[in-house]
Amino acid sequence: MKYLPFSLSLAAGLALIWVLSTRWGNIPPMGPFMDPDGGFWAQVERQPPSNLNDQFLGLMDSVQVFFDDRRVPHVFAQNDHDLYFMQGFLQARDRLFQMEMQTYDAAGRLSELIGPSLVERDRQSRRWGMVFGAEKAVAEVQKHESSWTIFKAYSAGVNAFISSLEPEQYPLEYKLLDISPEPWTPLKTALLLKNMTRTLAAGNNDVSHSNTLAYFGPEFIEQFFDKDHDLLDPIIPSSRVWDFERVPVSRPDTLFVPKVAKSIQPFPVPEGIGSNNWAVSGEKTASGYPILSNDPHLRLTLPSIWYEIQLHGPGMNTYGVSLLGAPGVVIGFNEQIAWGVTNVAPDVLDWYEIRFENQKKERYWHDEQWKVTSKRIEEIHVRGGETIIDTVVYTHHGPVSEVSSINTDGQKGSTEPIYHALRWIAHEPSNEIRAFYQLNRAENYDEFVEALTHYQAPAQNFVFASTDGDIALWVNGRFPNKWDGQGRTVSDGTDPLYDWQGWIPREHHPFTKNPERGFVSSANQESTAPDYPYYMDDVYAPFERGRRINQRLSELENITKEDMQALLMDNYSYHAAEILPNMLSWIQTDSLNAIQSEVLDSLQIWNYYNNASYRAPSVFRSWWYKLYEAILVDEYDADFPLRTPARDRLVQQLKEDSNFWMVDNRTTEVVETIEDQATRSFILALNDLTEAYGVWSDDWDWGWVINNDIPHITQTNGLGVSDLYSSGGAESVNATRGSSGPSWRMIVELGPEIKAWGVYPGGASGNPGSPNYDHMIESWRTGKLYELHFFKEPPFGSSSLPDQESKSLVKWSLRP
Amino acid sequence: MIILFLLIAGNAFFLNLVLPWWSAALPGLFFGYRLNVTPIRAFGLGFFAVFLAWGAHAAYVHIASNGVLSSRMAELFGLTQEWILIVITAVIGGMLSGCATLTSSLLAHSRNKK
Repeated sequence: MKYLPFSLSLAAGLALIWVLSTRWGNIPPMGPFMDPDGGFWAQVERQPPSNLNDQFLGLMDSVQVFFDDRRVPHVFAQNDHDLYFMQGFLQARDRLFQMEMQTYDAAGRLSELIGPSLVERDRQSRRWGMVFGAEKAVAEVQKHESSWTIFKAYSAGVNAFISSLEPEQYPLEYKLLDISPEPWTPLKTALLLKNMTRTLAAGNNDVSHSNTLAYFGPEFIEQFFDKDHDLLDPIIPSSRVWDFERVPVSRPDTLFVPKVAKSIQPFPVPEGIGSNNWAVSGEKTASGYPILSNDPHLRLTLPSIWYEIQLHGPGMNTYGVSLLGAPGVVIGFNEQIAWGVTNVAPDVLDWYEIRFENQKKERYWHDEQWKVTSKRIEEIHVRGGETIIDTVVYTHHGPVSEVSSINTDGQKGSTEPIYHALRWIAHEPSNEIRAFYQLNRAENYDEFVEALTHYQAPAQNFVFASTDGDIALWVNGRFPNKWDGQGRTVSDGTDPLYDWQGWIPREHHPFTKNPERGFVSSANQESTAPDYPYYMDDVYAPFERGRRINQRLSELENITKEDMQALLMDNYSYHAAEILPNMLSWIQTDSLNAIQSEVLDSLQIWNYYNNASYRAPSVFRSWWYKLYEAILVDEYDADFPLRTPARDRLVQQLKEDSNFWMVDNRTTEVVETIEDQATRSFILALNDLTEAYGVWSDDWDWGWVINNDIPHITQTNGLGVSDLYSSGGAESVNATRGSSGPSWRMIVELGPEIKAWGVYPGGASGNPGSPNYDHMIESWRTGKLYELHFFKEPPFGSSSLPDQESKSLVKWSLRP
Repeated sequence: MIILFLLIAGNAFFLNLVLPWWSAALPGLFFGYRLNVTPIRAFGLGFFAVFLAWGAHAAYVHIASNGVLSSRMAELFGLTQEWILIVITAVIGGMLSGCATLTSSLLAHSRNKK
């Protein structure tokens, strides 16, 4: 008995240790997490990285790395292996968690790390064949020896970093989630690229378009989805003559009518996804050298999607931004050329209605015969839950998803399962890294074009400028050769006429080189004028950004970097300029009170710029949303997904016929006019704004209402930044809006000495305890750019840098 | 007693630099055996020694970094004040050491009872 107090105390102590080393719900194990030397406190970076002169396992030759004042690494290596090994090592060192999260997401493995809440997302990733596509890509890469070498070197670099880590050194997020990193493989690089394809080339309206056609009829489709906007200024100028015959394809006599399906897009593409790029020829610039500019718009996160790096090796010297998990530079420049990208959004994803022989789904009907399916067993491991086994059936089209359909003849609301097979570009073997490898080394236009032949998806508008004085733009990717409208609706999975019948030959791809107008540009708008002989897609960004850019570039002469910078930050809203005057003319002013009239006055004098300090953009956006809703809500009353007209198309319709048939709310007795609708929606919009932001005051500033947050990739509180007072808008060239927008702004002037500027909303380090985690956000928000240090030779010992700057460089000298 | 207090605090600090977080319990286990005080005092002494060691360490990191990370962590845990994180850190270390010191001194007590 005398040892009882001791035993109790010992037991209490051990229990305490157990409690502190266990994860409770979302609370990390508090012992190791709060440890002042090993826990989150240890993640605080008190000193910048320091000089290093050491042996480094895994290298073949000596390597030098210089970190500049923004901690951008500049890698000087003697061979490709060391170059991409170092890129892998450095990216992992700064962004390991992000690299892993992105590839776990692509592979449908998030529930392994997080738990049951992400099972549905994982299941969708598996059913979309993300790993299937990535495995095909790896097989393709292996066929090309130098690509495979890069993949392996890059992986080895990442793994060199991972294996150097003790658990106490794991990045913060690992400690929060109580997980450890796993080795990197080439498959993960392929998965990352598939994730980009999913982000940028998975948009489709097949189901909703089919439903819209069935619900509203073909005239409606023609009215709202077939016509180009009058102000559309296509990427390839309409003056371009297509002097070839298209490769013919056979089409069915009548269009297949699919069942009305309830499936919804599991990975909705937010409107924030878009981009701008342009290049102006030396004839239009003050310096006489071409200038190229690019700002890809994506979801904004911390850490940023991009990682800035300079790679210098045998036969190459390139600088730009890279993706976390992929070797090479994706957007950037070298000593002769610069390039940038915007998304194309061709229809490279189609759904096919499948007829299985029976519930075993072993055979399906196609081309007048039963064909055999294959099956892929997907095991979804769930943290704190049971492993889920999902069998995915594959047809020759691709993997099959089950969706529910509305039985239109039977009772309302009854459903039956139907099967949609996915035909998607992401499942075609491809090797995009080879394209970037060659782009990074390309010295002129011809080598640029050759590099692009290896690029398949997600299709991009590649803008180009060179020190030779050339400018060009290629609508580039692999495009199925389709009959007009093919794949716009859900296709007949039994009829080979609906299969993809080959590809648009490269020589028929839309491109323009050194056009007479002296510039090229793209802003996700339609690639070509309607006379282009092939069908690519019917969904493009509204005309607004593209038209604004072209208008400004036409007007400008003696262009400087500052002009380009101003255009990147241009907040003009073509959308408001088009429709607001009409909206103001419709409003019945006698039904407004004093405050409402005051707000209305502010719209009367607005110059259509989405500037942070204006209140008018806040009012206009809410008003437009309300009006849009009031016009459509009564017609769009189905309980299955329908397609809604694009913003610019509805504007045009209203301007042509302001009292067209949808304006009246048919659920009411009276006939509403556009005047009624405009006035009512104006008042509703003000009520909403008052509820959200209080009385009409500076709190209504667009800078706040734009609601620009940059969250952490896991949406964890505290790791992002909130309420950035920002200018911009969905329809402005500066397409900043809540949590998405320009993810990288870059300007390159292609003189004998390349000059370049850039910024992205984040910082080199992915460590929330580093000052380099988010240090560029303020510059990004206010439109400032950093001059990029592009070294032709290792900067130490050379006179190319002022003393001050070379002192701020940190140098690593590494030897094998 | 002050010497034992300082020995526990100092050793806890240095051991933590080379050993994992639970090393905060070791000095208390070692020196608590030599403490000839009531159990409550033994616990209190062990507690405050590492409370001080861990708290000072965390406070130093917080101040030296201008709270770059502690402000984020405070938001993550829904805390309004960053210094609460320092207190939580100190309490965790203190609890570990307090329990260890108490356990060890109780062992000494039990053996001496005969």
